[in-house]
Amino acid sequence: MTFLRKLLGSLRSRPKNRNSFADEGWAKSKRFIVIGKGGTGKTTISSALARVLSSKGQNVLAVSLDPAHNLGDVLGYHLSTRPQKIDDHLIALELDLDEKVQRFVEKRLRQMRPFYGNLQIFNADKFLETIKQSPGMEEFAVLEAIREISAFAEKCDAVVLDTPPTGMTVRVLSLPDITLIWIAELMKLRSKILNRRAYIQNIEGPDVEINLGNDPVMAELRRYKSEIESTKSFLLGEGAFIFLVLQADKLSVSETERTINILYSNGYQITACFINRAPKGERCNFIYDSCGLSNLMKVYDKIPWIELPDLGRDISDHQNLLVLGDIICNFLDAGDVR
Amino acid sequence: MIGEDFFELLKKITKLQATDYVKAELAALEEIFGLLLLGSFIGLPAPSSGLVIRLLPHLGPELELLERRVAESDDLFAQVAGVLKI
Repeated sequence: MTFLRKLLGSLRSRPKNRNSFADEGWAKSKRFIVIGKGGTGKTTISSALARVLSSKGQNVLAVSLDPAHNLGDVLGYHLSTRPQKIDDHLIALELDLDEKVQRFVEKRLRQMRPFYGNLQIFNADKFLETIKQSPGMEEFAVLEAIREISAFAEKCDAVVLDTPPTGMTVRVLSLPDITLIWIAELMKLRSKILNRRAYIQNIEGPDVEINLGNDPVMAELRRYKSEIESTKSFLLGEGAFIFLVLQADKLSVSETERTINILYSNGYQITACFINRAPKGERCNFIYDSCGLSNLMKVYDKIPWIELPDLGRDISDHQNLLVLGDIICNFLDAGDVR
Repeated sequence: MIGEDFFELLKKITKLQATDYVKAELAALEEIFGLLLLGSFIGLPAPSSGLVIRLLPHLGPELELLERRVAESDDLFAQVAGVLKI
C-alpha cells in the first residue's frame, strides 16, 4: 500500500527543482514537444516551427516519433531513421519504433543466452518474443529514442519533437516517474539482499560470493536511474516547451482537456495550446461555444491559447510553413512563455 | 588432536545455526525480487518491460532459485518446518 501511495503521490506531484540539470550538455538547447490528437496538425506545426527557426539561423533537429510518419511529407523530403540534412540549419529524421524495439530486444537476448541456456522454466526466446508484443514496449522505445535524441541535442539550438497521438504520448511522459519509483523500490530490496549476503559472508567466510559495490543488478539499476533522470530533465526541465495542438471540434476539445489534466498531474507545464485552422469572423464564437472550447479556455485561462489560421490545402508549401512558424515565434518572442 | 577437531566442528555448527534464518530470509528476498520483475506473468503489478529486460541478463541466480522453488513448492511446509527446527 505504501508503494501504491508513493506511486500515486508522485503522479500528482509537481517538479521541485527545475535547475538541477543545468550542467547537462543539452541544457542550452530548447526542446519543443508538440502533442495533440491524431489529425489536428501536430506535424504541420512541428515542421513550421523547425522551418522558421532554421530560417533564423538556429541549428534545428526535427524528429518524428509518430509511427504514422508525415514529417517527411510536410518538409518535402523522404526521411529515414538516419538524420537527413534538409537545409543548412535543419536536420530531420523519422524513428522506426518497431525496428527500435526489435534491436533492443535482440541485443538483450544475445546478452542473456549464455546465462539462461540451462534453465528449463525460462525459455528466453519465447519470453522475449512475448515481451516484444507486450503492452508498454512501444512507449519504452519512444522513451529510449528521446534519450538518444537528448545525447544528440547538445549539438543543436533547438529540437522539435513531433509526437505520436495523445494517448501514447501521455503514457510516454508518465513513464519516467513510474519507472523511477520502481527503480527506487527495487534498489531498496536489492540493498537488503546484498546486506544479508554480506552478513552470511562475514560469519561463514569468503566462500559465499558477494560484491556489495559491484553487484551487476545494482549497477544496472543505478545506470538506468541516471538515464531516466536525464530523460526526464530533457522533457520537463528548463528549455522544454510543451505545445498542445487542437482543432475547434468536440472530440479534439475533450481530448485536449483530458491531456491537460494528465500532463498537469505528471508535473508537466503546458507552454501553449494552438488552435489549428481556427475559424474566422462571427462564426468563431459560435463554433467555440458549441464544441466546448470557450469553456475549456475559461477553465485553463492561464495557458496561452494561440489561434493559427487555415492556410489551405497545401500544408507542405514552404511559405505557408513560414507564416505559421512566424506566428509561433512571435508568441515565443513575446516572452509570454512560462 | 581430537579436542581441536571437536572445537572446530562446534564452531562450524554454531556458524551454520547463526546464518540459517538469514539464509531463509535471503532466499525469500531473492524470490520477491525475481517475482517483482516477472510478476506480470501471474498478474502482479510489474515495472515497465524495458526495465525488466535490462535487468534480466543479470538475474540468472534469482531465476534459478525461482525454478527450484517451483519444483519444491509441493513440500513447502516441510521446508518451513526445517528452517524453524520443528
